[in-house]
Amino acid sequence: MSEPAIETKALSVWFGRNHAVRNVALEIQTNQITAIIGPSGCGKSTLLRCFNRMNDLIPNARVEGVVLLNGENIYQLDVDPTEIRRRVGMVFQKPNPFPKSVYENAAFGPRLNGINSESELDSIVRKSLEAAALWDEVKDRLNDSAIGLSGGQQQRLCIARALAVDPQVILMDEPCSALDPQATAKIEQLMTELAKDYTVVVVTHNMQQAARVSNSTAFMYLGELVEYGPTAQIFESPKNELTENYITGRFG
Amino acid sequence: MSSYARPLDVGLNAMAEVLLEMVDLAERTVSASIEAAAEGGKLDAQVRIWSTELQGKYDDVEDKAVELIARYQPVASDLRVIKSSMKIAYDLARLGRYAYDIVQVLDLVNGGKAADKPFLEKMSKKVLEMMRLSFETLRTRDVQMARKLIEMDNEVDSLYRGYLKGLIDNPNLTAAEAVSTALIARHLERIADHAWYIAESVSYMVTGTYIV
Repeated sequence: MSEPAIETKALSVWFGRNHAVRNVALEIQTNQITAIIGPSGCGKSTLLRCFNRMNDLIPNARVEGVVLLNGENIYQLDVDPTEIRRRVGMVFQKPNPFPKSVYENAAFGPRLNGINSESELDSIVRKSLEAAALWDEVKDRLNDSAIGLSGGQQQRLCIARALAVDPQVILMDEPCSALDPQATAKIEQLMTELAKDYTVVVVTHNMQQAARVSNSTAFMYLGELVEYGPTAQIFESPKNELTENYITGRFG
Repeated sequence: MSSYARPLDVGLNAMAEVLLEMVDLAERTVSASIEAAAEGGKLDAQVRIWSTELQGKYDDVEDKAVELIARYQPVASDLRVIKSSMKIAYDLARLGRYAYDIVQVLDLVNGGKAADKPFLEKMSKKVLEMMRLSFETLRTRDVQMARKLIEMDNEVDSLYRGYLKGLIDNPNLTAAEAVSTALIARHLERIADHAWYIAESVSYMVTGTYIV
């Protein structure tokens, strides 16, 4: 197996006195889809947010341990969190496009990064929208407001916006829980496509979604990483009784 | 952490119930055919009815399994129980079918009796013992219990092979006697195999691996 895209060692997160993530050691493989599952409050979103230092933005949050992005510790003092967030993009539960045109949403990141050439921006916008499987649906309405798109289209626009700054990793936090089954199926199909070029980490409440899309699944409970393994093994013969009880719906 | 009955459990229990009915029926069917082989007698009508009944119950288990998969997308031990139940139900239906095959062989030979009574009695005893142990493994889900079956299955296999070899060189048997005994021995050997498959499926159900 190649070098992991992300590796955590003895990773702990506190919010004030609440120990939300406990001593997690995890390797996320490159160009794979890794799902993180677990009941509400188990620390899965918090863990995800460690991968691009989003927890830095929460007052009271304290992170201990190591998060390596392609071998580099992103919590080192001299690391610029903004640069990390460019390399590790994020998509959220509720589609959150900017109240701007479709085009400007996709061009927003590249512009921030100093790209001003119209032709270059045109090319990035098109490529990102194509990669997010949205281009055909919006190519004739690039200047319309993004808010007029359907929920599923808005979510794919958010994915395009993340792709536009050429990240290595895409983090998805419940990316389909606000979408209908058809829009969900499109995003899941897209995730599989994206994994050819990017490393994808998805947090989901929907266990069937984890089973459908991911290569590896991590199960968290009370801040701890209980079990981590190939998705087929986790869903056929989990080794840990807690995992078994959670995925079979006996608690959670 | 609280435990509560899930809607899936209702379906799993209904499926398990049919499987246990099949176990009782399979035991009755195989025992009856073996008895017929030993004592003679016209049990083919009854054995045929039971064998058909087993096939019907197998279809029922399969229908229930598919419905549970479609409705609940089961995973982990739930999924393994469903997969194993389908396989075990098939094995039980096969037991019924081999029992029927045995009484059909008896029908072919004069007097409805197989020739080599002492040999068939010896083999039947082993096979029945295996089948009962296999069923006990299924009822209790105690995989340790199934270990003994490996050895027993090997014994049945070598009994069967040894007998076939001896048969070729035995000038004292008529063709009808030789064929009927060989065929019945063959069906008994297959019954032993399916008893072993059932134990393997119980192992998969409980541990996730077929290695007993």
